[in-house]
Amino acid sequence: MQDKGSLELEKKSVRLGAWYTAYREFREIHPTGAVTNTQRAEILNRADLLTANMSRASNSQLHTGVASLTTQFLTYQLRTTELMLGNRLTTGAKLRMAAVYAGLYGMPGALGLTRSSSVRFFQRSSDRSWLCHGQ
Amino acid sequence: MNTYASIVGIAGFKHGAGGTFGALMHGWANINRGEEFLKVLDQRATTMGFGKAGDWLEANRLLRETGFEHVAGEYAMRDNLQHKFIGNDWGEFLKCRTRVL
Repeated sequence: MQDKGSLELEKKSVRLGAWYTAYREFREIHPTGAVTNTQRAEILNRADLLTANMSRASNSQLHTGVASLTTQFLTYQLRTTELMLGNRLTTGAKLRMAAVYAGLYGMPGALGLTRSSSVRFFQRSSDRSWLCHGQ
Repeated sequence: MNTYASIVGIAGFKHGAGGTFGALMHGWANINRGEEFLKVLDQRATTMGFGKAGDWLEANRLLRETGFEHVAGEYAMRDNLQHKFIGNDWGEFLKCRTRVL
């Protein structure tokens, strides 16, 4: 049941993209030469990072213990937060990530406001303005 | 979509675009694993900016060796996990449901 609920197709697609991207980065630094086992592990680690560590191997106490009930649908948000607050990404990568999110979803999305809450906020704002105009 | 945005955001568009096309070629390689067909896919990937000739073939081979493409039922052999990053009483509270009595 757990396997069936893991959205295999989407996850596989992203893993493929992450792997080939990580390999491209590796070959940019090491243009020639055979890939050793250690280097292959480095590529794998980077690919895992590019998928925002969205595998069970990166489950923390927030996903397994008593908090798992409330965080069960917040995995991606938590992992992204861990990336942004941690030191595994460079400052440039963090800024670039925020810029990409801002371009795709707008500044509220890039700043971590959930879509539903931001939509509700703007709906309320517009409702109030409509009430003001109505008066 | 979100996760591809993360890939491009972290790695940059240059690598992200090549990697995404490499992933597309990987999907096509599942249709036909013939040697000649794989070489054609490698040429296409090279044309679209995935490094030099032979890079995509090597990446495809390494990926199959790692098993990273398999979703669900996989396991990770990692020795650098830090699973207890909150060590005080609050940490004990967080993992209370996982403790075997």
